[in-house]
Amino acid sequence: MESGIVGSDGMRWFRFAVLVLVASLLQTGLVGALAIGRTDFKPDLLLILLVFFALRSNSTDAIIASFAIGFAADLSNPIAGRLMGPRIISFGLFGTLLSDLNSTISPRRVIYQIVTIFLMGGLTAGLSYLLAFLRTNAAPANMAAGCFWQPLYSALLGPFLFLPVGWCMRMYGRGHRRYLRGAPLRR
Amino acid sequence: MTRKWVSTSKGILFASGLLVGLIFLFVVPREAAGRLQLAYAHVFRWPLSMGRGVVRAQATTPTRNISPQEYEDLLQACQQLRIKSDNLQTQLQDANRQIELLTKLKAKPGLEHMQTIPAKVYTQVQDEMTISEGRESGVAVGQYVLSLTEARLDEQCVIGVVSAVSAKGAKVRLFSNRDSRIPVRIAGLNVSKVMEGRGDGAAKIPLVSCDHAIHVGEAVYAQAKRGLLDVPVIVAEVAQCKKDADYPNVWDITARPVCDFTTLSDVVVLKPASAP
Repeated sequence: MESGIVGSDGMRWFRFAVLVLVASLLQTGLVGALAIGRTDFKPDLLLILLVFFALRSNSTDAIIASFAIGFAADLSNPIAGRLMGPRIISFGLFGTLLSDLNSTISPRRVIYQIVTIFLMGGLTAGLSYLLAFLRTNAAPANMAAGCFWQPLYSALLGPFLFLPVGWCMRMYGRGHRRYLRGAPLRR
Repeated sequence: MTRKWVSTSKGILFASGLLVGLIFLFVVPREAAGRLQLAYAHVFRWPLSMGRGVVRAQATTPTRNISPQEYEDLLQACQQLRIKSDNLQTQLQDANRQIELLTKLKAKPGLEHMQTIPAKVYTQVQDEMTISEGRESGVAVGQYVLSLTEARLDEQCVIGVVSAVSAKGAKVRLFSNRDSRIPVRIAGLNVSKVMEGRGDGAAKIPLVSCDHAIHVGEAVYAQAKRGLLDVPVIVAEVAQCKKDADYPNVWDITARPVCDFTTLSDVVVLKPASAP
C-alpha cells in the first residue's frame, strides 16, 4: 500500500502524515494532561517531530517535513487566534537549518539531542512570536512559557519519543542517513 | 550536474515553503485562517473532545493530601467565613429593605423633590433622639425627621425636628419635647396652630376655638414649610379634647404620636433637594 507514496530515499509519507496528524491531535487535546504546575508548561510534540525528521531524514525530505509540521502546528495550536504562518515559517526555516547542520554536527548522544530540541524550541518560538507581533501588532501572551518552559519540557521528553517514532517511521537513528546513502552501518 | 539539480530543487522547495508561510501570514485574511482552524477543530472534534475530557478529569482529581491539623484549620476558617457571609447577608437584606422603604417614601406625592437621608436611632432619652447621620451627610438644624417603619409605611409621620448637629451625628427634638414648637393643622379644619410639647410623650394644641368641632382620633398634620417640608405630613392624632379650664371658649387638645418612639430604629431626615 505504501509503495506508491514512499519517497525515493525511503521516507514514508503516509506514515509521516498519520504521525503528524496524531501528534497535532494529541498536542491539542491530550498533552494538557502532562502539564506540570501551570497549564502552559507542557511538551510540544510537533517540535519533537520537527527535530526528529530534521536529524534523521535527508535534507530534501527534511525541508518538506519541516514546513508540513509547521503547517500542522499553525492549524492545531496557533500562536495567536485566527493566525497562520508564523510556525510554517519558523519550523521550515529552522528545520532546514538543522538538517543542513546535521551533516557537520550530528547530535547522536541524548544530551546533545536534549540541547538541540531546547534550542530549536526557543528559536522557533521566538521567531513565531516575532512574526505574530509583526502581523497583529500585539504581544502574544505566555512568551516565557513558549520560549523557555515548553522547549525545556520537550527537550527532556524528546529523546525518549525518538525511539517509538523511529520505529514507526522505520528510521532507526544512528547511521540512518549513511544507510540511505548506501554506506555500510557501523557495527 | 546531479548535485546541482538537487541543490536547486532544495532551494526551490525551501523558497516555496517560505512563500507559502508568508502568504498565510500576510496575504490570507485572518478570518480565512480562523475558518481553516475551525474546520480542523470541527473535523477532528471527536478525538479532541475526548482528549479534553481526559485533561478535565485529571485536573479535577484531588492530588494533595492534607494533614488533620490543616484540615481543622481550614474547617475553622470555613466556619468563620460562613459567619461573615451570614452577617453580610443580613446587612444586605437590611439595606434592601431600607432602599425599598425609601423608594416608596419618595414616591409619595409632594416628597418627590425632597432628598431623604436615612439614619439609625442611637439613643432616645427624654423626648430627644440621637441619630447616626450628621453634617457630613447633609443633615442641618431645623430639618424635619420622619419615622421609617414597615408597619406604617403609608403613614410615615413627622416625629420631630433636628435640634443640633455634629459631623457624624445629630439630635432630634421630638414633637413631645417641652421645647418643641411645630406649626400644625388638624384634619378638617382650615386653621393653623402651633403644637407644643408637654414633655410626657404627648403634645398640646392650644388656642383652638370651641367653634370648631374636634374629634378624638383626628389626624394632626405638620404644615408645609418652604424649603423644609413641601407638603403637610401627619405628625400626631388627637388623643383628648376638652374645654380649657382657664378659658372655657377654647379647646384643651392633647395630641399623641401615631408611632411608638421607643421602638423606632430607623428614621429619615428630609432635606430639600436643592440644598447643598
